[in-house]
Amino acid sequence: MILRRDEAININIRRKEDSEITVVEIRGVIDTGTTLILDEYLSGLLRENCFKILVNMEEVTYVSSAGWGLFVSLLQKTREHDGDIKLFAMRYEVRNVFNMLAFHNLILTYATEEEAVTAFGKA
Amino acid sequence: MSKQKNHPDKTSSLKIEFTVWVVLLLSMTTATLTWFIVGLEREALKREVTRRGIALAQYVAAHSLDPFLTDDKLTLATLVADIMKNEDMVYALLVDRNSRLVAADRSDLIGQAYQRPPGLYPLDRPSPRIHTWMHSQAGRVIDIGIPLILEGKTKIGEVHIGVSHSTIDQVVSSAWRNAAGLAGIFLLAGLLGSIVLVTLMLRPVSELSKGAQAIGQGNLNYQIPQMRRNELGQLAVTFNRMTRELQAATEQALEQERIKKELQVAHQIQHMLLPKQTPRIPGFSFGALYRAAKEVGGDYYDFFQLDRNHFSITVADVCGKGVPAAMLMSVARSMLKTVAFSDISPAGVIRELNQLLLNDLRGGLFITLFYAVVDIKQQTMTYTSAGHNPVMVWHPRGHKFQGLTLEPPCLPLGLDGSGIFDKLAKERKIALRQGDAIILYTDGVTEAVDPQGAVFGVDGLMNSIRTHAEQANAEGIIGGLDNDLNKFCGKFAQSDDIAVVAMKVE
Repeated sequence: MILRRDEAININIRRKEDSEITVVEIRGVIDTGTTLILDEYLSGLLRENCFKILVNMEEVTYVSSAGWGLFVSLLQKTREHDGDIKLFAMRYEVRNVFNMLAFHNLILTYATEEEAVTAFGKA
Repeated sequence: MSKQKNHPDKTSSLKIEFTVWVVLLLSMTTATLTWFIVGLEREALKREVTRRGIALAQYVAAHSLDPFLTDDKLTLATLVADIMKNEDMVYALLVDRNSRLVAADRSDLIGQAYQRPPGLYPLDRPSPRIHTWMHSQAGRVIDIGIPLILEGKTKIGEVHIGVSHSTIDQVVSSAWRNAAGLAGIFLLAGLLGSIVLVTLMLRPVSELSKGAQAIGQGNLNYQIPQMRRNELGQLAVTFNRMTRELQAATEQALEQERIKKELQVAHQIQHMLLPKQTPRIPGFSFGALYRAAKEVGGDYYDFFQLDRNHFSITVADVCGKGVPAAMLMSVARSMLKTVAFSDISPAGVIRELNQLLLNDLRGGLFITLFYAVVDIKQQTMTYTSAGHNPVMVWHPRGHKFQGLTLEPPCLPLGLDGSGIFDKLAKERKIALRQGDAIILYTDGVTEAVDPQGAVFGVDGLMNSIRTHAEQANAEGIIGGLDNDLNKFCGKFAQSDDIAVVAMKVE
């Protein structure tokens, strides 16, 4: 089910059937400007008590430091409620920066959505 | 205060102008009307006088035919004398076929030749002829002439009676006088009326003028009092709305100007925090480039002379840009400055810096940093990196680049206090050789974009260094890179902060 959609950056949010997991599909570039939009969407999810968030990074071509900062900040909040933010299907060029920042020590990433869902357990 | 006196003068000049026009218009109307009415009266009077004259002349003609034929001069004289009893009668004449006077109001003229008034020709039709002419004594005279016709065929003479025009003239001139008096009264009433009317009508204009004056002097709170709902009232409403909008716009402009000023000050402060000049250390040359995407930026570089034998180089990038990044940058700088002088080990420095920043950083803010300590005597460089992009080392002998990173990489500063950071924060040592050029930079350089959207990239950076590193010292390398970046980006607005530091072993 598609809940919301935005023009500047393409963000789809859908809830997985029979689970507490929300999948956020992002298409485009997460730079300083679009980070603000993404922040609104993701903070909205937390307000609605959605703490298990999967982000599909397949169509994300660039993430600025502000974008990474957003993921890291939300990470702490979701984990306080037994949730998490997990990324999957990250592109090579985005993964390079991700690795350089050593973020794999903080954020868990997966190759596919199924793997990420499994990692959440059947909650 | 003196300025405020201006507007009543202007209003009164408008008053005078308006009044003059009203009076002029009123005068013209009254004059035209009077001329028309007096003209009508004069015509009516003239018609009446002429009609009476014709009746008298016809009376004379009817009663003079028989005495005329019988040459009964006494009857004719009586007839003339009777006619002359009428008011305004100037003369009464009976003329025979030979233009000789048979009877006349003046007995001395009888028997003499009839002197025709100029322009009056012998009567050739039975109808009366009216002719106005200038009499030498009586002035303008209306001559009414009727031919004496026998048995409807033969003309045997003419009757002429002269009626004075002076009565008409007197009546007309008296009518003129009356009209002039009336016109004067009307004009005076009009004048007073127009002054009152203009004063009443111009009151809103005066209010509007007062408002404009107040706004002109900068009082944007001024509101014109409510007026009647006419065009001027509407104007006052528009005026008040304009004033409110002007005030809002001015406040906004002032606010923007204030923010701009503050950002300029912030920009100056930030520049004060960056090294004023590159260090002078024998055997090394240095160069630095700093460009903020906004007035202030989150990039940072610095050099510390730690002791006689050691100096350090730092390049850091605070996540985000603008004021928050710049504030965090200045906090981090102070902390680094304190920590750097107490610990010679780069890894020790960033571990301590991380701990200090953790206390202050919230909500996903972090700093990537490359920190290196150079041992001048040993010609070595010990470095560490907290999630910063690889530092380039150009080796002229092998004609190749080496990227300086940590393996495994370490997290940026300010994110982890659980021990992961401390475990990952390691340091490495490399030997420095003559000609080596070390380039420390932030991602603003490699992510610089040209107008078509292409990025400068690591390749662009390496090409630039390769071109300039052999010939130039560190300052020359930076100068060359600055040119190359300018050429690449053109006039395209810089999207991220840029900081580059170059060090060359001479």
